[in-house]
Amino acid sequence: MFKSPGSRWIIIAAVILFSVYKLFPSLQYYTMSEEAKQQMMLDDPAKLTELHKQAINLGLDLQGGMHVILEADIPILAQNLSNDKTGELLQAIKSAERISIKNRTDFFDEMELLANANDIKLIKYYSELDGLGGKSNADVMAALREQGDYAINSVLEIIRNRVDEFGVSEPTIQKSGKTRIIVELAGVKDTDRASSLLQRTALLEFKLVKPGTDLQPILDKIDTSLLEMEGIPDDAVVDKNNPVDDMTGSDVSPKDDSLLTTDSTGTIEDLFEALGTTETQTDLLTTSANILSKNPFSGYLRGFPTGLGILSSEVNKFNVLLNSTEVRTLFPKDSELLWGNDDLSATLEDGRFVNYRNIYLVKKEAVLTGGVVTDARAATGPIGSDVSGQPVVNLTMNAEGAKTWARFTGANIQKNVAIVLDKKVYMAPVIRDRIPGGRTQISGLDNIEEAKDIANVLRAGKLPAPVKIQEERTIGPSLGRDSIIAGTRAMTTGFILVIIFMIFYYRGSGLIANLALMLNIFFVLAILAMLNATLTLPGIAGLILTIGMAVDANVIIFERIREEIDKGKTVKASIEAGYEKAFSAIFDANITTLIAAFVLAWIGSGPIKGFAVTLSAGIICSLFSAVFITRSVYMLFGNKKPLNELSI
Amino acid sequence: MRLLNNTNFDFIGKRKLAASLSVILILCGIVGSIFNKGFTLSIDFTGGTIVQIQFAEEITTAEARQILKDHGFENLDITTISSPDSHDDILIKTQLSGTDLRDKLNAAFGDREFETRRTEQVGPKIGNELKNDAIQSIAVALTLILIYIGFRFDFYYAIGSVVALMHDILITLGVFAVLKLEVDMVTVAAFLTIVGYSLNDTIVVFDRIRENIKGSAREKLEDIVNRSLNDTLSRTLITSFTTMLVIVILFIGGLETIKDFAFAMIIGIVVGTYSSIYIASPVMILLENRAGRKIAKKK
Repeated sequence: MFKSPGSRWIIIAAVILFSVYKLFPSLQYYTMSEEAKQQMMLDDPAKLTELHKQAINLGLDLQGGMHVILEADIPILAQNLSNDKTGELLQAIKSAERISIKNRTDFFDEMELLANANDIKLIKYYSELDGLGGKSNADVMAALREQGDYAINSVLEIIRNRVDEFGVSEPTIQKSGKTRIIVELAGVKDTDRASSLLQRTALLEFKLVKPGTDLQPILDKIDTSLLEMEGIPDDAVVDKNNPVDDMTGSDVSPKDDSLLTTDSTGTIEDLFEALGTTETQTDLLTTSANILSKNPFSGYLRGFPTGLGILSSEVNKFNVLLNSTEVRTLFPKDSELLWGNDDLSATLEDGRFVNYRNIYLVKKEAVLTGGVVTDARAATGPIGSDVSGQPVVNLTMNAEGAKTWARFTGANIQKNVAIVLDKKVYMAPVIRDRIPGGRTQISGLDNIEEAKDIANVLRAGKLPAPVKIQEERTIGPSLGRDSIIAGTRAMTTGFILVIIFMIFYYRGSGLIANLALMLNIFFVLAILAMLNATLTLPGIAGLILTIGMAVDANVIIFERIREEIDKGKTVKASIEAGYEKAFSAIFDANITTLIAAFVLAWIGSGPIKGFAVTLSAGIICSLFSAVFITRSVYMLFGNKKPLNELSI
Repeated sequence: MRLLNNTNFDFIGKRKLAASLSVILILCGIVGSIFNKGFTLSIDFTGGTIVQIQFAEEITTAEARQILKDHGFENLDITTISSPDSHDDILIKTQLSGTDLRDKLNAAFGDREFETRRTEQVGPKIGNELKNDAIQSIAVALTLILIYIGFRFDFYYAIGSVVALMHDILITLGVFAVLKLEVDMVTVAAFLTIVGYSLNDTIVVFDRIRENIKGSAREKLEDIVNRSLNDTLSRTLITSFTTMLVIVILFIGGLETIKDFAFAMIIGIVVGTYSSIYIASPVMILLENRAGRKIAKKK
C-alpha cells in the first residue's frame, strides 16, 4: 500500500492541512484577549459561542470551575408521599434503599419487589397519591415512579432556569440516570454563590402583566433621560410613530374560549410592517444606530409573534442598560421588566430566522406563590371540550390559594398573568374568566412537551423530594492557571530532553523521529479539537506520556534497522526489513495499550476520561507519524540517490 | 551511539532468583498493608471533603489546626501543598461530607484574607460507586488484554503477560501501602497506564520470540527466549529511559494532583520493565513446557 512516495506525501499534506484547519479556532480563541472576548460577547455572542465550540475545551481543573452531582432523595420522597408512615412500609423503604445502593439498582424496583414479597398492600399507604390508575401494588408503584420523575424534572427545570445567574457562558446541565443531575460550570468565579444557587429553593410566582400603555411612558422617560445624558436634543425622542406601543397591544388578543390561553397571533411580517420604519430586511437582524440615536433604550424593543421582545444578539447589551443605575432609578417602584425563560425564533419574510427573547412588564408584587400549587400535570384536552385533543396543563391550588386566585382572576379578565420561576417568565396566558375552586386549565400550548415543561415549572414550588449534592468539585481559577503553567512547563522540558536524547543516540534518524514526534503532538491536539474533547490536567499528563511512548515505535524500528545492517544487508534492504519486521510488535503493543485506554475512557469520568482520550489519540497518531511519516522521509532520501550510508 | 550491542545475558537462568525477589517484594507489600491497616483511600472512594486554602499571610498547619479546633473541628487531616509561584497552601481533609461543612470551614477562617483554591466533596454513595468502577475497570481491562493476546499469540503467552501485569500492580500497590500514599481515581488511571506500558514491553519481547521460534524448531525454548530478550534489550531500556525521563520531569515540576500519578508511573515503569524480562517470559516457558510434557506423555 502507498508504494509511491508521491501518494504518501499527498496523504501527509492532507492530514497536516486538516489538522491546521481544526486547530485554527483554538489558536484564535486562546490568543484572544479577555477584553476582546467581552466585547464580542456584547457584539456577536453567537460567533463567540461558535468559536468556543470549535476550540479545544479546557477541563474544569485547568480553567477553574465547578462540577456538581445533585441527587433527588427518592426514598425520602416515597416516605413523604405516604399517608400512614407505620413500621411495615418504613421498613420496606429502608431495606429497598440499602439494597439499591449496594447493588446499584433502581430504588422503586427494589421497593416493589419487597412490597410484593412481604405482602404489603401499598394502596393502604398511598390512597391519596396523585395519578393513581388502580389499587394494585403495580398501579401504586407506577404513580410513585411518576412522582419520582416529576421531582427530578422539576429540579432540572429550576436549575436550567438559573443558567444565566451562574455567570458562565456555557454551563452543562444534564440528567444522569433517573435521579441525578450533573452540572458543570466552567470558569465560574464565585463558587460559593453557585453552590447556594444550585440548592436554593425555587421561587414560583404568579404576577400580573401590565399593558403596553403602562410601558410607553416609562420608555419615554428613560429614553429622554439617556439622551439628555448624552447631550442629544430631546425633541427626537418624542416620536409619535414609535413602534413600541403599537406592538404591545397585540399582546392581549384572546384566541379561544379556554380559561387561560397563550397568545400567538400575528406573523412577523405584520409586526415588522408595523414598525413603520424605512429599515431594509438586513437591518432587521440588528438594531440600527439610527434608531438607537433617537431611542437609546426603547429602540431595542420590537414586536414579535409572542409579544414584545429583544433580538437574542442584543440581549446582553440591553441587560447592561437595564441594570445601569440610571435606568434603575427611573423605573417605577411597583413594576419590573422580566425576561422570558428562553430564546425563541421567528421566520422573516425572506425565510431567514431571527432569534429573540420576550420581555414582560409585570407588577412587582406577586399575586400568589408556588406554595399554593398542589398539583400540575400535562394532559390533552378532554374530548368534546373547546380544547379537545390539544395539550393543556391542569393546575390545582389549595383552598387558601384558590380564594385569592378567584378574586384576582375575576378582577383582571382579559389581562395576562405571568408564570414566573426565579424571575423568568415561562408564559403569560390571558385570563378568560373568573376561576373559582382552584382548578385552572391552561391551553394554547404548542405541543405536549411544552405542556410538560410548564407543569414541571408549576410544581417547582413544592418539592417533596429533597435534593442533595452528592459530589462537588471546585477548582479556583488561580489553581487552574498554576496547573496550566506547570503542565506546559513539564511538557516542554520533557519534549526537549527527549529530542536531545534522540539526536544524541540516533543522529540523523533521530532527527526524523523528532519530526514525527512534533507532528504527533500536533495531530493529537487536532483530534482533541475535532472530537470536541476536553483537555484536563491528567490529559496533559497523557500527552506527556505520549511523548515518551511515541518515540518507542521509532526506537523499535531503528534498533531493528541497526540489527539488519549488522547482518550485512544494504541500507535500503535494512530499512525495508526494519519497518516490516518491527510492525507487528508496534501494532500489537499499541493495541493492548489502546484497550486499557478505552476501558478508562468508558468507565472513568471527568479528568480520567480526558486522560484516556488523550492517550488513545496519542497512540493512534503515533502509528501514523512514527511509522508512516518517518518511512516516507526515508523514501524521499532514498529516491534521490541510493542510500549507501545511514545516519543511525 | 550504541549501548548494549550484541549482549548475551542469561536472563532465563536467573529466573528463580528473580521470582524469589518478586515474591519477597509482594510479601513486603502485603505485610506493609496489613501493618498500615490497608490502603489510604482518598475521598474519591471513602466519601469526604477536601479544602485547599491559600492565605494571604502564610499560616502553619499547627495554627490552622488550632483555629479549626476552636471552631469545634477535631480529627482533621491538615497538610501543606507547595505552590510553584507563591507560598504553601493549607490542605484540609476529612471523611465527613455535607455542604454546610464547607461553609463552616470557610467561616472558621473568616477574619483572615484567603482564597479557596480547591474544594472536593464526595458523598459516601458516590464514593462507593467510584470504588466499584475502579475495580471494575482494572478487571475489564485485564480480561480484554488476556483475550487479545490469547488471540494474537497463544494462551500461555497471555497468562504470562497477565501474571506480569498483576505482579506490577501488586508491587506498585505495595509501595503505596507501605508509604501510606493515597490511592485515588488518578492513581487508578496510573495503574491502568502501567498495565498498558508493561504490556507494551512484554509484547515486543513476545513478538521477537514468535519470530525467532519460526526458524529454530530444534532449539530449546529457554534459549530462544533468552536470545529474544537480548535482541530486544536495547530497545526495552531506551524506551524505558525516554518514558522515565518525561515522567520524572512530571514528578519534579508537576502539581500535587499529578505527583501521585507520576510517582506510581515511576515505580510502574521500573517494575514493568523488570517484569517483562523476568516474569512474563519465564511464566510462559513454564506453562509451555508443562503443556509440552503433557502432550509428550499422551503420545
